[in-house]
Amino acid sequence: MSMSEYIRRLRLKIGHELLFMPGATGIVIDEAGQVLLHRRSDNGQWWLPGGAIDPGEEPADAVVREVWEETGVRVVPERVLGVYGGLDHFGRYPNGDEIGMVSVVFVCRPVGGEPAVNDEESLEVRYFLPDALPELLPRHRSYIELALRGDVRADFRFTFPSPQGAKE
Amino acid sequence: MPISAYLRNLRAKVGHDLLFMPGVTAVVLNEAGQVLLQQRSDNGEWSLVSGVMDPGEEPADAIVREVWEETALHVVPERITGLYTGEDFLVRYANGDVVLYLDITFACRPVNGEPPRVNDDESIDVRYFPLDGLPSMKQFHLTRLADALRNEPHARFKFDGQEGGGGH
Repeated sequence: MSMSEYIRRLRLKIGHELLFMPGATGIVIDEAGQVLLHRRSDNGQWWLPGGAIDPGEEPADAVVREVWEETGVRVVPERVLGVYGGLDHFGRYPNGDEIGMVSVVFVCRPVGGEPAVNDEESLEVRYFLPDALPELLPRHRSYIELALRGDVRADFRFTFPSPQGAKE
Repeated sequence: MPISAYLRNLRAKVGHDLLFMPGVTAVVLNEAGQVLLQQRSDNGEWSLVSGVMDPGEEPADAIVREVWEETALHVVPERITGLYTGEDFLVRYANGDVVLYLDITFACRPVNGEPPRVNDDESIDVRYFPLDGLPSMKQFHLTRLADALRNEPHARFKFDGQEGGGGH
């Protein structure tokens, strides 16, 4: 997650405190049905490529940029898989920065480049068959399962059991 | 966490600086095919109902909460119709704060046929309008309404300067 000028400037003023921001994540599926993952250098875990959206940037353009930066693969976003908030999208980077994301997840098609470590954020980059995925965050695994089902509707989570107005 | 607590803390440190935040908008259509609009108290303009997400909140929960707070209607979010950002979504508030929104627009259905009513101080008036009798509204409201009325299953987004979503 290379830090944009926007975030760098805010971090100078707020330190490690929670920053709540939009992010974009890419599920890149090649013609063989394999999913592109990269192993993050900061925590050693396999992860879907993605990161913060810069102010002024469209979410789809952000996912293209992030996938390129982290994996060396050029992609075209085909559809919005879903948009997610929720506390499972909160976390702390190894450097202590607290972040809360609202994640726009895109299903993407590779159109060029080769998977390779492309910057200091990744240790390994490769495609995996869906039945041979490495250990992943539960939410990343569920995104991949949903992407492979091929529903064109954008997914979202809706936790309201009853009208909030009932408290009135 | 309420957005007010998050923002108060952040604003104390960053002043009026630009913040890029996720927001939600509702296109609520009743059984007669009329659309719910609010007349905003801050500028007197008619608009779709929208609001800022709380950190940790799901977008769909945020839109249910916002529609309730502003119109006393309980709605069910049915699908994400589009993602929007850019100049139209850059807001300079009267106190000098600057916020750019990434807007997630939902098509929503009211759970009953009750009329909306002004429910907080953000609105002067709230009501359903027939589509052939809309009040004057800014283009970015009309665009999001038109996108929702296409009844496409996928969410629309912009990519590389082009309108997109599902068709790539």
